Parts: sequence; C-alpha cells; structure tokens
Amino acid sequence: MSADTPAVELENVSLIFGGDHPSDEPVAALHDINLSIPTGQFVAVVGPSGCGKTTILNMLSGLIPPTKGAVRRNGTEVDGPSKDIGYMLARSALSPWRTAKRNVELGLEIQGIPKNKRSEKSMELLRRLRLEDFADSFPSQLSQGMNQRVAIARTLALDPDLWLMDEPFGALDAQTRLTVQSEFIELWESEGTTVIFVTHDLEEAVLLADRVIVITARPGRIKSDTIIDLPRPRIIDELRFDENFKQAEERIWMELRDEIV
Amino acid sequence: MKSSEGSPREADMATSQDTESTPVVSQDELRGMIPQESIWHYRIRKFDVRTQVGRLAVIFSLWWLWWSETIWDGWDAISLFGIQPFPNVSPVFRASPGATWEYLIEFLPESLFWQDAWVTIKEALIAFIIASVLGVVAGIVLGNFQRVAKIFGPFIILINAMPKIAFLPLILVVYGVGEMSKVVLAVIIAFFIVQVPTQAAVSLVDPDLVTVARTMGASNHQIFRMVTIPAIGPAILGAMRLAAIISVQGAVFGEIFASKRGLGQRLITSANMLDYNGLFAIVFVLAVFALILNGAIGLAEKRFLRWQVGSQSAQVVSL
Repeated sequence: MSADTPAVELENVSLIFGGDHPSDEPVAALHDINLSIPTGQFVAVVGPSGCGKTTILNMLSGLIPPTKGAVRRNGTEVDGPSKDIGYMLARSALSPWRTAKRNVELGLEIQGIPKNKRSEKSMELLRRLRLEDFADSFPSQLSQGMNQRVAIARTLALDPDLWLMDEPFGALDAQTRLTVQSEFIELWESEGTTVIFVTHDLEEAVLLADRVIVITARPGRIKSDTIIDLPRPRIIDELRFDENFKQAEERIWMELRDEIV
Repeated sequence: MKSSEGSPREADMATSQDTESTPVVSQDELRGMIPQESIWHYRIRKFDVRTQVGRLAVIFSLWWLWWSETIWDGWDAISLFGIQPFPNVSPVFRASPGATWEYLIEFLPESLFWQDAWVTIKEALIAFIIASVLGVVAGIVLGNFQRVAKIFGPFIILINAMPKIAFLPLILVVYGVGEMSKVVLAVIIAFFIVQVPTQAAVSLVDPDLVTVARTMGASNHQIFRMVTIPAIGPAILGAMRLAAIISVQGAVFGEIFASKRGLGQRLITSANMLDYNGLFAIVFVLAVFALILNGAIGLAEKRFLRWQVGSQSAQVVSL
C-alpha cells in the first residue's frame, strides 16, 4: 500500500434498487459517484433525505455491493463486512439486555477476544466517554445522550481504521447533541481516523468535518465537494458563532438548497 | 488528547458531566433536604395498605357471597331477554365453604388423593415441557426461515383455528384412556400458545441489532446466539406462563372426559355423586398447582429479564 493510496475510493459507482422483474420499476439510488478520501480525513456527506447517503455507507461497510463500479478501501475492493470498519447507525441500536459495558464489548465478543482483554478495552472506552460510572447500567436506565455515547464506544471497540457514521446524533435534542458532538470531535481529534459522517444537518457537517460533500436528490450524484478550512482543535460551541464558519455554511447551503427546494 | 487542554470550555464541560467527582452538594446535605422516614414507616409504605385492604375486601366479598349462599340463591328478578343470568341453584348442587374445607381435611392427608394429584401434575408438566420445547423450536424455525413459514404457515393457521378439544374422542381411541392421551391433548393445545408468539417475536427482532452485529463480522450462528435468542426471551417466557396454565387445563379436561386416574377423574366422580364440595376442593388444589407453575416461570423472568428495568413486564402477583 503506497502512501497515497486513498483510504476510501468510489469509482463510477451506481446503485439500482429493484427492477429485477418487468413489472418492478428499477430505482436509481446512486448514479456514477466518484470519490476519493485520503487517510485521516473527516468527510461529512449531506443531502436531502432519500438521496442515498446511507446507501454509500452500506456499500462501504460491505452490507450491499454496488450495481456498477468499484468500492475500494486502502486499494482493495470491499467484498463483505470487515472488523476494521466501525459502522454507527442512526439509532443507538444497543442490545437492551446488555449493560453499557457489555454493549461496548459486542464486537470484541464476536471476534472472540478473551474476557479480560474485552473488559480492559471497554472500560478504557467508557472512561474516555465519561461513562465509567454507568458501566453496569442497562440502556433503559441511561439517557439518550448516554446511550449514543455507549454506541460510539461500541463502534470504536474494535479499533476500526474507518468510521462510518449514519446521522449518529440526529435523534438527540439540541443541548445533548452539542455535548455529544464536542466529546466526539475531541475523541476524533486525538485519533485522526478516516471518518465518513452522514448527516442531514449542514451545521453539524461544517462544524465537525474537514470536507463536506453534497449529494443531489435521487438519483444521488455528487453536487459539490468543499474543503472546510477551519482550524483544529475545534471547540464546537464557540465555533458555531465564528464568522468563517458561518461563511462556509452559507456557501454550501446555497448548493444544498437547490436540492431541497 | 491534543485538544486545547485547560481551555475554559473544557472546564465547563467537565463540571457539567463529572458531578460525582466534584459534587455541588454532598450526599449528607442531600439527605438533610429530603424528609427522612423511619424504617417502620418505610415498611408500611412498601406494604401498601390500600392495596392490601382492597385485596382483603375482594376476598371478604367473595367469601360472603359463598358463605351466605347469596351466590346460590341467585337473583331470579334479573332477567335479560327472558334469560336469567343468575338463576337459583337447587340445594342439592350447592357447595358450602365448610363442607369444601372438610373435604380437603379428609382427603388431603390421603395417599390416594396425592396419587391422583401426581397423575394430573405429571401429565400437565410433561405436556408443558413438550409443548414449550416444540413451540419454541417451531416458532424459531418459522420466524427465521421465510420459505418454511410460507410453506407451513397456512396449515398451521388452519390447525390452530380448529377447536382442538374436538379431537379428544379420536385421541382417546388412538392413545387409550391412560395418561398418554391427556398429555397429547394438552400438548396440542399448549403448543400453539408458545409457537405463535415465538414466531412473531423472531420476526420482530430489531433489524438494526442484526445489522450492527453483521458489520462487526458476526456469523449467522453468532447473530442467532447473541441477538435473536436474547431478544425473543421475554416473549417466550410470557408465552410459557400461559402454556403452563393451559397445560393443566388440557390434562384436567381430558381426565374429566375419560380417564382411570387423576384429579379430573376424581372431580367428575364427585360431581356424578352430586358432591359439589369435592368439585370445589379439587378446583382449588388445581389452581394452587397452576399458580406454582406460573410463579416458577415468573422467577425465571425475574432472573433472566433483569434488563427490562422500568418497562411493563407481566409480573407475578405477589401477596
């Protein structure tokens, strides 16, 4: 793997749903997507609902193959789920019968990591997300924001080198979202992993990401690709009122608005 | 962490979250703010006097209706479309609390009574276990494999729609009047009680949980063990509670229809001899057994479903 091999590469990727029967209309979810993401970049993907944002993540995680084109990770074609990819869904999707700690350990258990190693890893992650006092609590006993943080810890437990996040903070209220965003960006800035972050919230995209990609309405194509040149580390709740931030957000909003209206 | 250490923002965040490391108010101060109740007051509150009084009132009312024979006297005056819902019962058929109690005193110490009880309990238990195992396995298979469900689904619905008790005469001919026929009847009835909810629960397993496990590289077997099984646990245990009661019913009904031994046999013999005190006494014994079985599953629920904190799970009535 040479140094300039992109972490993630989509080449002429199209995805069609249905249409395998004459009476079934095929639907083009994504059309001719070309995208190259270098290692360590935080990329936000925004677009109107139903534009195929989640589909991109599903292809990258190996859950569905593209109809046409190639999806590559570190130069090799994706051909199924891999433990090197951490996929975080919109809902926390925690197992209600597992404590916070055992939820974090899910992937480690699947990979057959011995118990003491699992425990070490999960406690470290819970500490980093300030949840160590709630290790033995069940999801039903925790707030939504806490559960979302548990889900972040679970996603990171296998030390993935690619984080796929599908509107991870969409279900949170504004206050909680700010807190969890801050914690998440702090965590990411200390790790520097490649992230593809799907969101419908443009403010969130510009606040967190190095690069924002706007996807058009169905069939999804890349409408714009903007580098966000805001300094790091970012202090989310201050940056929100920064002039440069507002300008960047406005510029991308103009692109996005055409797709929504 | 390369983020700005010591920034005022970070300090803010720390205090808002780490309340336990730098408490604003100490535990003792908090205690001082809450009115403290004595241990006896606490016990009385937990005992919940109003609920207990309510229960006593229900028990007393039922007892009074029976003891004063009001329930047997009926209310001939009440008539709906020419039908009397509460008719007068002839003194010949009346059971009294005293005589029922005497029956229990007389027969409970008898080994013959317990031999009969054991026959019924054995039939119900075996039927319950078989119906639960078959019901859970069938439910899981049908829930997991769409094609199997499509092939067998309509037939299962058809069989379930039949009044299964109607097969009893046939079952008796095939399996004889012994214990086997009662087990078969109870299994046929209780099986569906377990199978239907199990299958529904499998198909309702949160697909996101499956996706999460799959992206982490879980095999089908691991998904089954780590997602499906725990997810359908509550539904299975709830169905098994019902199946326990239904199994006792099936066994007793079979015995009443035709049998050599068992409490159902004893019950119908009493009734045939116009001894309705015996009927009442035996029904009480059977109810106690069904409650014990139900309670045992309740304990299993408490043990395995600890995670359902605060959610409304069917709870054992605790006296």
